[in-house]
Amino acid sequence: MSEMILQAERVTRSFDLGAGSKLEVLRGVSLQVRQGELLAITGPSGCGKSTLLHILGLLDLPNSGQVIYQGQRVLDLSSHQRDQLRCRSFGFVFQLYHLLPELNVLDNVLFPQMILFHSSSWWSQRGPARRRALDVLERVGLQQRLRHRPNQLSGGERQRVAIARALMNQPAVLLADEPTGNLDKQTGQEVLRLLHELHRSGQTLLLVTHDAEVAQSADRVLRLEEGQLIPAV
Amino acid sequence: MYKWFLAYQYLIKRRIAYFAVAAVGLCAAMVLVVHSVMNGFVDTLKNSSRKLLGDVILEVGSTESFPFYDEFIELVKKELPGQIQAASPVVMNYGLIKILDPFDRDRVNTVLVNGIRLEEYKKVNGFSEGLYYDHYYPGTTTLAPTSQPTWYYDLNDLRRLPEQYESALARYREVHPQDSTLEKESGLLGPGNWPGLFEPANNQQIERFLDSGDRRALEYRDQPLPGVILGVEMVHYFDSKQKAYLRMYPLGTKVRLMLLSMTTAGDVTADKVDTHVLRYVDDSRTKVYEIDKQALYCDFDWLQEKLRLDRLERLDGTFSPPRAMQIQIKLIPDADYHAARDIIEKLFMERFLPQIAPQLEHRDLVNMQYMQIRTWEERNQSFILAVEKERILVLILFAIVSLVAVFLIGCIFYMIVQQKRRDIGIIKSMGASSRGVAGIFLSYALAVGTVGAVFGLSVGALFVRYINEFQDFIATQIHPGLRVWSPETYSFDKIPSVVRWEDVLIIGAVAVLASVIGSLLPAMKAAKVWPVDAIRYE
Ligand SMILES: Nc1ncnc2c1ncn2[C@@H]1O[C@H](COP(=O)(O)OP(=O)(O)OP(=O)(O)O)[C@@H](O)[C@H]1O
Ligand SMILES: [Mg+2]
Repeated sequence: MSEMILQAERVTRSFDLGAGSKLEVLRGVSLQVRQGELLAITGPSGCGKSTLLHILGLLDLPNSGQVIYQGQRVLDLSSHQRDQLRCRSFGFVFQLYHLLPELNVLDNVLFPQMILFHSSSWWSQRGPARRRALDVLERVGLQQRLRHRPNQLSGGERQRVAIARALMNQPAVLLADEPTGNLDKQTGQEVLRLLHELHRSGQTLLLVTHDAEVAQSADRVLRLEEGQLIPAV
Repeated sequence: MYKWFLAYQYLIKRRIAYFAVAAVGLCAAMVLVVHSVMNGFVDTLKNSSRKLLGDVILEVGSTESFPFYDEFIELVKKELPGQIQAASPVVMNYGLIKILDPFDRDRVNTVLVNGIRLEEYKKVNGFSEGLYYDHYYPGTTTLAPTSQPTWYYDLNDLRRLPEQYESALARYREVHPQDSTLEKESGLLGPGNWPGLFEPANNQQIERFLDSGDRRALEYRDQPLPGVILGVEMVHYFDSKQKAYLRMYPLGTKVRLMLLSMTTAGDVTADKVDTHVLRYVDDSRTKVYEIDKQALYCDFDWLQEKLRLDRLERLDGTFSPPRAMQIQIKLIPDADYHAARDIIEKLFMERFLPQIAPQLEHRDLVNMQYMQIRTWEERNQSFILAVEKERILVLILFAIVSLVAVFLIGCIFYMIVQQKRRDIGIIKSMGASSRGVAGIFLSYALAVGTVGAVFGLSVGALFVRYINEFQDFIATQIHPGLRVWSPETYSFDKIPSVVRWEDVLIIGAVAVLASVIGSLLPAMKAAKVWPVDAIRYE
């Protein structure tokens, strides 16, 4: 039994819809992510998968419950500490890639490092950071496209850049929200193969998808329904 | 680090940044141009008004005369030893002149005639700086009767000026070995390589020379006439082809002067108009257009006599003392002219006036009790103050323009933040703090402000530097009506401007500050973006 890295305890999240009505999306979700596993979360559209992922990645806050990262109760941290933790330990991959349009491929991938290091230490970290960026880009097969801007890339290439960017700070957990949702079947497969490769090399991966086939390939699949997580059959 | 990096990328890659830069730049340029012209205006005005009349000026009224001026000058020099550089009386009168131009262009001007003691007058104020011929031919200008100087061909077929002028010009060249103005002025007008406009010797002169062998026959002609120095605006015009001011009348042209007779009380008497013919011996440029348009200078004693202000025999056989309209006093450099004025006033009122009172006619005594003794600043106060007030207007303009810049930047940055919501969400998802996100936009504004200020101030400084050329270009190439700065409305023939480094720095700093302040609210809005909301909606 490998070590627990990320945990959610009875997390609830609801949205005010105005006029007194409330949309309860998560109704006491508990979840444990183990070091090095590939965990897939599925469920019908609008059931709250993205919401859960954002809470686990410290991007959003639950109304109640607790998120525990390596024994640390995350909600007790200050927002600044949470920002730092997110920067250091989590990498996001989104359905719509979300690259920064003004930056070229290399700068997009370097960007998390710039956030990680303060201005003063950046200059000494620049060389290693650059080398690491080239490394990561090679892993996703884009070492030839360093100077290209995002709008000069195909969807699959963009998603690979996004993955490279998410890996840049060597996150403990990689959170991918429908990474293949916007790609055609073949490109989706390639991206998936890349994620599996990462997983094989030890990367902890949390994958949100409503594609049953994609979910199938995970170590473990959980299904979000009616605001509750249930093991998928 | 990422703040500066992203700010830089936004600056060079987002077109909207160019608008922000242009907005800040134009504001800075505008303030710099207005401020510099205003500064130049005030400075020139002060400078030239100081050079106009000496440091301390005594007068009863502009054309009312008073006696015993030389006696008072003597007293002042004795009582303020080592403090007075020069002092000189002036007589004044209004008149009409007609320049008897060889080309028969009839020009009649109303003039203010100043009778001056030239050598003293040159020491008392900046008059000598504005003399054209006396500048290039030092020592040649005199108000005493002279003939007209002419140029001629010598035996080697070289063009020659009268000996007196040639040696004076040589002296000038010796003192100013590399003088570009001399180069420029030489040969503008006539056939000779010299500044100014001279008449060629005529056949009569040549015949007389052949008869007598006397070179002076070629150098001068006509009977001697008293000299007159004309305000430069009466004798020159701007030639747009040569891009220079050219003189219309040859040196020594005759000028007919009609003097209005005035009583000692300053009333015009219509019974008789005296006409005199003088010779144009130089022109004067004080840089104050109104003065250069209508001031004329002739010899003090000559004018005094013509105005019957000299020593006159009264009906009872006694004599009335000669009279003047003004005394100008020049102090030694760096003297405290306010203090000097007070001393001179005290001297006049408490010692001099009681002393001469028994010899004064009653009307003079009354008049002289109202003698106005003023420093150059006080004397020219009305127009210096007017412009000083305008400086405050410029300050208000500066404040308004800064505010405009703040709002412009605010609007533009609000739009940018709105556009960039999704990116802000992504950046936060990578671990940037709210403060960091605000920092991106503040850095961006700082960069926009700096680039805008540098760009705007350079354009502004360049514009100010070439503002006269620019205006000439517009006026000559597009439409003469576009000449904004017409010498008739403003006192100077050129648009004055002074660019001070400290002003440039202050304007630049305010421009940068204004951009940062303008971006403050948008930056706060960016900081508050909730990343999930920003990422969720496309
Ligand atoms: N800020 C919000 N305000 C109101 N409702 C919201 C907000 N965010 C999410 N919701 C709602 O919460 C529910 C869950 O949203 P979420 O994006 O987590 O679903 P999902 O499972 O990821 O769906 P999909 O598979 O389509 O991506 C949706 O019904 C959505 O409309
Ligand atoms: Mg979703």
